[in-house]
Amino acid sequence: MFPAGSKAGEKLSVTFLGDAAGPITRGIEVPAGPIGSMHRLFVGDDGGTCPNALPFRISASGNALEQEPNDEPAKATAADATLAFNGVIERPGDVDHFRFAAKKGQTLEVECFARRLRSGLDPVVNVLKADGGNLAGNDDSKGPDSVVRIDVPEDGDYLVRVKDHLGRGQADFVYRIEIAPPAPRLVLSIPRIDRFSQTRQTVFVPRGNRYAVLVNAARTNFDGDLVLDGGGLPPGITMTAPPIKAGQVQVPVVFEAAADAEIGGKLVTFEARQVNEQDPEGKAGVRGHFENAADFVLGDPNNAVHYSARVAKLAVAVVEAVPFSIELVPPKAPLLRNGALDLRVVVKREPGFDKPVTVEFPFRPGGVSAAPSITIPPDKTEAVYLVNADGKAATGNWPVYAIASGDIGGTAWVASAPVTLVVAEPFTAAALKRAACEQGQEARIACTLTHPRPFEGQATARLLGLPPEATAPELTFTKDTAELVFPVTTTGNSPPGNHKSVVLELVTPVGGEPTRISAGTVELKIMKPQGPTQPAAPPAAQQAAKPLSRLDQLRQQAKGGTP
Amino acid sequence: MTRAPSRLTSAVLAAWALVAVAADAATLRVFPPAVHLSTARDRQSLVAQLIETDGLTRDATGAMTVTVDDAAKVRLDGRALVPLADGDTAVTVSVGDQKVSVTVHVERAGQSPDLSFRLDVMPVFMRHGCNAGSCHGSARGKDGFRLSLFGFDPEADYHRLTREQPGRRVNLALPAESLLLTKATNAVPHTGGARLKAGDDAYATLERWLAAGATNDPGPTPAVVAVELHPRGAVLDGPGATQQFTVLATYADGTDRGVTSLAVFLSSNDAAAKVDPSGLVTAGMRGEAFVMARFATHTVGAAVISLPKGLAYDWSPPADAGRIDRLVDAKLQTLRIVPSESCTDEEFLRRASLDICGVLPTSDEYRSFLASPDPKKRAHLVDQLLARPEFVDLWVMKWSELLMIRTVPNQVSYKAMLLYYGWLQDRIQANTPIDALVRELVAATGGTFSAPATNYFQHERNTLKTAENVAQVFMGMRIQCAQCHNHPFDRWTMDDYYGFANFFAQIGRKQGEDPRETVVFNSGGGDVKHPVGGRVVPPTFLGGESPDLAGRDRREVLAAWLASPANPHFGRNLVNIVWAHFFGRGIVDPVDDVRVSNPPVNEPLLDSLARGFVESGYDFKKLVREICTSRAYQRSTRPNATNAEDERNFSRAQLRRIRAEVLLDVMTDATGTQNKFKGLPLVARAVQIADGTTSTYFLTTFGRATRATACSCEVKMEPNLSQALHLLNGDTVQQKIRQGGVVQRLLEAGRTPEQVIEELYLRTLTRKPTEKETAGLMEIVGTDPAARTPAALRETLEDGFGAILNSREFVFNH
Repeated sequence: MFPAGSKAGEKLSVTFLGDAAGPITRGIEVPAGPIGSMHRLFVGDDGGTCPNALPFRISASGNALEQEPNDEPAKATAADATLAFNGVIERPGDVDHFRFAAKKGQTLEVECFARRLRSGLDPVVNVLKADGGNLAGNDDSKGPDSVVRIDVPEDGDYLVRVKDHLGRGQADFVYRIEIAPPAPRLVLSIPRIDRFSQTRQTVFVPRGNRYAVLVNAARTNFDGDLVLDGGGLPPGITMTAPPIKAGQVQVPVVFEAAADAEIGGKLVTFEARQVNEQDPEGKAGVRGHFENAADFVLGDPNNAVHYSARVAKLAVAVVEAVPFSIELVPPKAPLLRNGALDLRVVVKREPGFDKPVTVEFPFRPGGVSAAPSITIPPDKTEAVYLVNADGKAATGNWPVYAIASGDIGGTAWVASAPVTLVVAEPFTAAALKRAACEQGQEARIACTLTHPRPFEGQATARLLGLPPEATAPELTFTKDTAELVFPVTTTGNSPPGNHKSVVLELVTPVGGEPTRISAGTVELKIMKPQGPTQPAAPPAAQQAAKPLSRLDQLRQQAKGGTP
Repeated sequence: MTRAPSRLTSAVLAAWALVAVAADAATLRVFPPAVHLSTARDRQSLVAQLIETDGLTRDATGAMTVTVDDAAKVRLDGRALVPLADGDTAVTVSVGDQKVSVTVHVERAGQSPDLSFRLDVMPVFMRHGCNAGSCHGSARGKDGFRLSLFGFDPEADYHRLTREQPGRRVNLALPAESLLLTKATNAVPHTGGARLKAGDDAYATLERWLAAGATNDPGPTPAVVAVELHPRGAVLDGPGATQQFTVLATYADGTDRGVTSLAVFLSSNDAAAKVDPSGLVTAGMRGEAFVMARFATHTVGAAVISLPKGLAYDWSPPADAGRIDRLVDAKLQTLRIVPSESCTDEEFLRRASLDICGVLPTSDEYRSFLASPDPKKRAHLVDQLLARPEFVDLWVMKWSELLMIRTVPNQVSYKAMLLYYGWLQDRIQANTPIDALVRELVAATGGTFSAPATNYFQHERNTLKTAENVAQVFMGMRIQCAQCHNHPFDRWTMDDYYGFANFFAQIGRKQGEDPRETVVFNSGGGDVKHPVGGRVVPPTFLGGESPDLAGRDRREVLAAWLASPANPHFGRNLVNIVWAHFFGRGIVDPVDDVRVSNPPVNEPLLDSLARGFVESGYDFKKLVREICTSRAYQRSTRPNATNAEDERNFSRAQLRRIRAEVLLDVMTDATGTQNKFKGLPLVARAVQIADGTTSTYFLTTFGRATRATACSCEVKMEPNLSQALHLLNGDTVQQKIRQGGVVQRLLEAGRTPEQVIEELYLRTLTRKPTEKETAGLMEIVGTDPAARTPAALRETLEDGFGAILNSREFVFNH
């Protein structure tokens, strides 16, 4: 239909194109609706109503319509950039130009809607300078439709040129151009567990227990802190969601259901709002919400998604209690860069439930890694989940959780309460000197320690990765220790060579719990001993065995020996 | 260059037309007809040929006496003319009492220019096999020394000889010590043996070039624009008869040169006619050979026919012959072959039904055709068959193979393939002239759903391969070889290849709205680069010009030329494809291997048919009608003494196995059953399967094309054991007989066993059983009706039915 969009509340006349009997004109009033949404219009006449609706775009402003001829820049239809430019590429080879004014420094997005309005046009849009020189262009950034961003170099007039990619044109090749500064956009999602799958894209919390998900925030055209709002969760469910800081894209969100919460659920609008110091509740900032994307039809080529739908709701439900729960023991010690920490996971099983429980650790701050899962066998109630941090891990206080699954005749999922994991700089740094010795001798590996962060109490240092038959004792040190020397004892069977795998491990207690780091690697060289010099072979025996050359024979003869 | 084929055309035409020249005595021809000598080193040898009234030729080279008009200008050295002084003169060649005068023009006789690397040295390498593919011309060279194959890169060859290993291959201080010479003469161990002999001309050329400093050509050298082989043909009487040939090369600067001693000679049929390195052809057993000479990038040939000595021949073609028969019979006369007689009405009915429609006649159709007294009934049958929808189906299938219509996972979806097939079907059903169809296909633009012809560019997305496919399918030429080096047996150079491929270098593709759809469009930019030097060869029609492309879609320009009379290969190729369908063998065979070294067996026939086809507006039905109503098509397969060994000249019909789809269809029809193919209803036939990848065990075993390539060899007609076993033991024949219940229905309708047998023969072999066949079958059936049960009778007759379907007579088109 033409024009295919306008302002909410406006009354205008639209023409429906494509009917066999000819174009149909109707007066419509644009309903209220969010700016940028598509309203669906049905057209009917005495014979009935057309069964398929046509999309009509609700936009911020009214319309400017093209005036033919506008095939050349000089004949461009002049219009205000706040209006949407509407036109038709009506015959093969048709090109439309519009002229608008812009100011230096503006950043504008020029977006063309055609296929999204079910027009057969495949638009190619160019933004030209007033003299016709090209500034920017685009073909297929939004499916077949185009969008191009320009940074306006100077005050003045600019042109938009629209044509069909293949040079086609017909009476229903309608298009609509909207020019606006880039709009910020915020969308929340739960990371997919499996491709094309809805597995765990919902929140289902067992009574008296917890469940958790990771939430991804996709910001476009802005950055900033975000807070999450559960948006009317079912009664009995509480939510713990940390703010998503600027630059962050993922946080863990833990839901807890009271033991007497009613079984049932609802679809909620799970929202995020941009906040800052001036607007701590996000009344004026960018808003976005969770969208559940469901892939319905896959096909050629390569499992392309042919049809999918997005629903702006999150399903949250209270489900029946399950016979196990888990706790992540809050670690007292921090996870240090280049270090490792043992997190303790405790599972409580109801009597009668004696199955193994598989635990995962989904939320990992930057630089932190862990095994994909660990299993707690039926006869154990505790396990250690080892987490590691690399040298550039993101320091700070991070909320983390563990999630566990077990077979209750189907798979049940429960989560732990959130727990704070502190990722910090190491307390101690070490510089190691390499050492060498002969087999059986002692080598001395010296470590110079510095303590950028003081700690209380005694820490332990040990060498790992020593070659076989080489040992070194543990040493202790405090925040004031400047040097440690490891006496490395070797035996006659210690393998000779350059051993580069020796690692210094430092274990520092914090709050009674140890946190360890790898403080560096060092090389240990073990050499074969140089034995005492061999006694010389008896000369006489040698000479007797050696056959005489003719010259020697003659010499012997001359000396009076036997010929 | 375009001149070579047309010279060949006129040459061969001249040779065959000799028969019609009813001169009283033999005619003397001397070649070349005019001699141009330039510079002191130029030589031209003369060749003479006597042409008898009955078409036989005699080598008169040894018997000729040459007298020079002006002894100051030119002298004779053996049978070669040597220039002495500038000017014009003539020589008179006499053989017996025949005389021919040959004009001689001499210029720059006093000049002896330096030997040229490209003009003098490179031909020596080619002639003596140095740069052949099995020697130093191979991709990695041999024993550490590489030359470009057949000399496509003289600049690099010069570099390799003189600079690649300084001091190694040429020795400027002692030229005779150069490895180039010592290896060539095997004076030092040379894996290739002795290729030159010290003292002969080739050796002298190399030595002189080395002695002059082994210099490169200072500037561009004139290219060879044409090569001629004289005489234009020969018809030799008896084994041992000879004919001396001479080769003439014409250069871009207007000079020409006798290059008989520098050309490479080949024969396509050594058994019939051998050629030695001096260009002397010796006849062998009866047959036809195409003798070729290759020089620079040109290959030219002459047809040599060997006949048994003193063969008596007395056959004249009927006077009322149509165009096809006149031309076929003219060749048969030259070959002294008597064609077989016409086939019977039964044979014609079966053959035409299978070839035109891929069906077998029903027993009613048989009876009415045989009974018809109409003297033109065969022509009317052809018209009836042409009007049936099965005719369209058959040709849609053949075109589908040429266009490779099939699904390709993640590249061409089922929907796209079906739309493509539907487009082709629409066009052929509407009798769209083939040139319009090809133009629409080659220039196709749009989405693969909305403009299905664009699927042609989705099946094959590689630019070079697309160019190769287009040349192979629409012009019948395999230019693949020229991608990496000049074509060894044809005229195409790498420049020709990349110039042609450049038409396809601006095909843009992007995804459509549907993930399965690709939009094919003119991207407006891009070129393919010639691998030697990375230069861009402007788009050039094969054997034609480089058109002005300013602002135009290259494929559109190509399409307009490709399917037009300006492109001689198009019409000839289409006509050849149609001919091959009806005769089992093209006038050029294989149909997609047109090259200088594979000439048409009957050039005038091909030329005439092509011209007629183009003039008729590419009217396909008209062409088929003309072919099927010709006597040549209606010949029996029974050989006679003169044509028993001829399989190429259409002196008799060839036994042809029915192709897979048609075989399945006729078997299905004969047994009264149906097949279910993917995407088709039960009543559909195997020839209607759109997708090349859809097949059955039967079809694959009998050689159905997968359409993975555009080659004519996709349809496999070779026999194999699986075919025999499948017919005998497989689930097709027996199941169809049982399911179809034909025998049952005939018996229930009250037919006697003899009648059933007759009906079975009629519907499968299009003839009645002989008495012996009926008697043999009835013996098994049992002659006492009371003694056999209905079930046993039915079973026995069905076994007989199975035996007929297994017979070669059923499976072959005869």
